[in-house]
Amino acid sequence: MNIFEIKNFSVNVEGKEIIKDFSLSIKAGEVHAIMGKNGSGKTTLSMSLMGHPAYDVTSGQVFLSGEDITDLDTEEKARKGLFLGMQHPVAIPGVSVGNFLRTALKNVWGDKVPVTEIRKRIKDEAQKMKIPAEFLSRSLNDGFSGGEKKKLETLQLSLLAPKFAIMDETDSGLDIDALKSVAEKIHSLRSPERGFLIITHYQRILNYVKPDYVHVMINGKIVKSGGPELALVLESEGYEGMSPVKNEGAKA
Amino acid sequence: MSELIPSRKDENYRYTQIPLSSEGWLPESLANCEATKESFHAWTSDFYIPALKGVEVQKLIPSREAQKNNEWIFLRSESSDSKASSKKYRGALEFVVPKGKSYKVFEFLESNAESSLLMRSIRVEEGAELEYFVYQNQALNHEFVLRHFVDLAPSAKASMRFFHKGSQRGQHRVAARIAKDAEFLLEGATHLEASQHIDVWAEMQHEGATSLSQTTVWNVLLDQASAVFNGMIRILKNCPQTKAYQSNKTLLLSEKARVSTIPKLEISTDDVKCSHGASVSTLDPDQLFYLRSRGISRESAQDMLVEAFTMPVLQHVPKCLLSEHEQASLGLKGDSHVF
Repeated sequence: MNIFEIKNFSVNVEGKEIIKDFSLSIKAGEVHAIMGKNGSGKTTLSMSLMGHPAYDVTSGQVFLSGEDITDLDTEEKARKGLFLGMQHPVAIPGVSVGNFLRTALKNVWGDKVPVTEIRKRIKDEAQKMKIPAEFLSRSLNDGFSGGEKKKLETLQLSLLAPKFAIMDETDSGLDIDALKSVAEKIHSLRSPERGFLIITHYQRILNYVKPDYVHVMINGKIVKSGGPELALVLESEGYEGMSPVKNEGAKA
Repeated sequence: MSELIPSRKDENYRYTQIPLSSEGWLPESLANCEATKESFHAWTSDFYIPALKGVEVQKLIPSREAQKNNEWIFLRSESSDSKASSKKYRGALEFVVPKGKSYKVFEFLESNAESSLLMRSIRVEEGAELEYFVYQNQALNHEFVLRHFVDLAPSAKASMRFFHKGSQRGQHRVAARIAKDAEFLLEGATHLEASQHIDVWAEMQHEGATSLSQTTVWNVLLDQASAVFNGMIRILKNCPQTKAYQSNKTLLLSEKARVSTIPKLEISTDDVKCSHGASVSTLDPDQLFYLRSRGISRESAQDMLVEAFTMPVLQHVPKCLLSEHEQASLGLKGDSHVF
């Protein structure tokens, strides 16, 4: 069964079409990677799938576990199990990490999990990821290093346990050690019930989170799809050699 | 003496919505008393003498025990239970933080009275320190005039924070005289809705070298609420290497909400660092999106961002002095920023 499906998806930003008739199907348990250079539309794709108001979806549909979620509000998509790990998590001074995580989990889990249990789970998970307790009292992403921001995105991924996660350039801004730790955490969260879409410039994160399929994106379209070896070809030959072909993503 | 009471022709009073009476811009119930006129006189000539005629000036003297443990001194306005019939109240308070001592004062203003006129005169002696918090949550038909005159001796340090949530209309004026090497931090916030109006004055008068003042006022305005920020940095002659900063930040959450910001600088010394600035914004769509992308409803996300905006002030409320019921009614979440 397809855990996540994008059909004929087109997106405009300030009147300009950035994503063009984009289609991709991902089965439960699979990890797909989208690779593309700057300006190819990768972040536009991820932000519009999650429903950012600045991105205007002009056509197409998005399905999560077979349910059409195209027109749902962002929070509804999240509650149904879609997660977006952001490339540039925004700083929110005055909202503590702990308060944010508690509120998010309360909203997603509803009243069935008591607050004390929510607190415990946050603390336990943070401890597992070697995140110090005082980190939870800091303002959300405010003054965080690149590594801390991505670590927090991964903590949220782990706590929210979504059905499908889009990780947008999680590797950007990370040194080698931080990349290894974040990527290994993502890898540990792979499961037969969960799908991943890893969006990246570089092959290196895919050393830790091995993809089943790799797609190359140029000008808002998938121009080539293949197995994990495609990432290695890109690494050695660059994007220049990729000639636009018919979108093969839907077949993957 | 009536000429001492300003009118709306004065640039500084043009934007206030404090109702004009025949004598000036004060609420009717307060305008026709000598004490009020005297208070203006005190302001315009020498603001360290804020005597209210006919009103007993209370002296604040903390107990020895409180001083020893550096405990909060809790000033509560007349409670809504005990003197509900009182329509207006006036009060004058003065105290001195003695040399080398450290005081913490929490002033909690909450009542069902119609109006109030409160004057506070504070002297922080050499090397002494003061931490002061004012939380104003008067009834929504209340009108007030509130003044804090702070006189800082050389090397004194004071922080004053205020939060205005209640009242229909009010004016809060904080005026400080800052001597050599003294430091004054003023951080205040208003959170207003319906047709509430608060007029905040912040006047920092630097009278000595290497003195410091930092003023920041945050406004959150909903519905038809309005706020005025009237800020003045005045650096007298012979105050080299003084630093003075002033900022007013407003979150406008409705098309009909308004803010008027009037920053002013009067600098009579070279070799000083000063800045003033103002910003008006609405909620950041990227911040809203981030919170919503984690399943938080639009309403909750907005509430979180609004609370976060005034958090620099709210995080300093000495919540330990308020009952759980009071904290809840003020919307103070006990654990919002501490995990």
